[in-house]
Amino acid sequence: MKDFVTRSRILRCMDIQFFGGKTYREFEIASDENFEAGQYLMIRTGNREVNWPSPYFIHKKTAGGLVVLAREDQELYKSGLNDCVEYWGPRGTTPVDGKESPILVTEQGARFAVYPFICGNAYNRLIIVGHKREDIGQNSEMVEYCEEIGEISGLIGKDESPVIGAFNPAAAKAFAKALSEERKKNTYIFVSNKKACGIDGCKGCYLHNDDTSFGINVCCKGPFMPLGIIDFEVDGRCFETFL
Amino acid sequence: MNLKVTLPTTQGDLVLKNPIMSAAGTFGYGIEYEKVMNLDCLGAIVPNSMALTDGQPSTARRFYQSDYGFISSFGANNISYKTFIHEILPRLPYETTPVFIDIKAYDLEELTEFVSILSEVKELAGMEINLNCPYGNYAVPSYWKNGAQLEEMVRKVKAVAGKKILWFKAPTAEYPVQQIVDAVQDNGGDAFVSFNAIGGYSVDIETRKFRCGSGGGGGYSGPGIKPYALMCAHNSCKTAKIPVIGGGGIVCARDVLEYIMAGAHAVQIGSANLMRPDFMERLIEELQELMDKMHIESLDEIRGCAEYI
Repeated sequence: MKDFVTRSRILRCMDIQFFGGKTYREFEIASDENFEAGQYLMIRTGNREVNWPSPYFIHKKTAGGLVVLAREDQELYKSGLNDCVEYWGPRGTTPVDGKESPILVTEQGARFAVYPFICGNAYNRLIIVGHKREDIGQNSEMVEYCEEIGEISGLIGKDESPVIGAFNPAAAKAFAKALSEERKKNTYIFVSNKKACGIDGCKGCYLHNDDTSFGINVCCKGPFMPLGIIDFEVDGRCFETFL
Repeated sequence: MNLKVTLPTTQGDLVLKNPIMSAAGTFGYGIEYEKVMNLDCLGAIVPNSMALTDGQPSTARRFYQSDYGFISSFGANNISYKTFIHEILPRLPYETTPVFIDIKAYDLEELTEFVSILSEVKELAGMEINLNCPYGNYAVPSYWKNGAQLEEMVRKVKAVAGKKILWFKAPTAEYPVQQIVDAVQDNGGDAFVSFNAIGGYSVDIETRKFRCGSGGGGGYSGPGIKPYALMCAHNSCKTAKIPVIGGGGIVCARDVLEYIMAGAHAVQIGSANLMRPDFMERLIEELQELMDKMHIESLDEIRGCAEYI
């Protein structure tokens, strides 16, 4: 049996700062895997005596590996060039079918989650909720802003493209409220709850669902899940906040 | 060199290929790992807890991974035994690797009904009765808190277990070792699992919220509690005439040997399964290499050999 976990190393790391002033760091991990936008690698660093893996969205394939993005609060962020890591993946399921480019909607704090779609040019519009800020490294003409999340419905209008959203918990709930039931059918949202193993083993990421016994697995079927199946009243406390 | 372990039970000797088995709650239902590792390499398989009926995920955050362990608060996130028996168990290597079901039940009646049903499932080697029972029944204190109730529970469960092996697993708390081990072994328990977890909390000072669990926390386990869990194992071994299955914070083969030298027959692996999914398979290989290096021929040779200084 092929080793499920791959021992690898960091080929390149670079700071990037175009998320509302927040610093992120991208890492090129040696790998021969392919990926689809929305998938992630479970990565375990050697930075601590006790190392827990974390999910990192993949946003690029290079000749030498896969490039992932780490937030400042994630363990990989502290790693450096040539550091050894272990990974398994890509994990998760892409929410795009390759036929229709989605509309991306997000806010600054959660924008890292739609970054893979931006990098892959796998979108036709990017709408950011919040005040307009200077964007580095991205064509600002491509970005639309809206002050209030309630305006999103109007901005999307009759555009029938699929929608992919990523928000902090309060905004995610408001986003769901702003969309019609019909529009929710073609809308996916990043479910930010804890993914401890990435293989449906720990059962830590499940969403409650009355129609499905035992609930819905997020780490393999998501982490972008159909908006219509999420009950924010019940599962809202599970979602993480990105400051 | 021999990794085999023999656990004498009321149903005869249970021979395990090696002392490594999963701890309920950290290894899914086993099949999630069939593409990750060879399940048949394990000494035994203990999947996530089960109940008579399907549960639902807790609506609170279920995990927080701290520096030296993790806090988990799963609630009733169990599948029903029917789903497991019909859809999952046939895919597990039960003929060559014994499978034990960790049981959750609402009250004693449900517990005995559940054990009685499982006693008819030929693919199962036995059951692990979680001493946190009753689950979700806040009107009734956990049975282990009352000696007479605990004895009654063990006795009644044993009476309906048929030819199945019965393990009893320590509660998620600091517990009176001698009293509990005595109640288990004097009333028909076949083995005692000496550690489960201890309570733990964590606060996120940025958001000013507890990080997981609906009541602020959950069960804390992992390498940070290994010294305490090892003490539980050793103190249990001192009291027990039945085999003790240790566990708590094992992250390498040296940890396994510590438990065996402290008196345990076998060990359960929990949090380390969340460090990397194929952890147990690698641990077995590492254990073989370490025993070889230390010229240990069998685990029987070193079991309980640790001396006080």
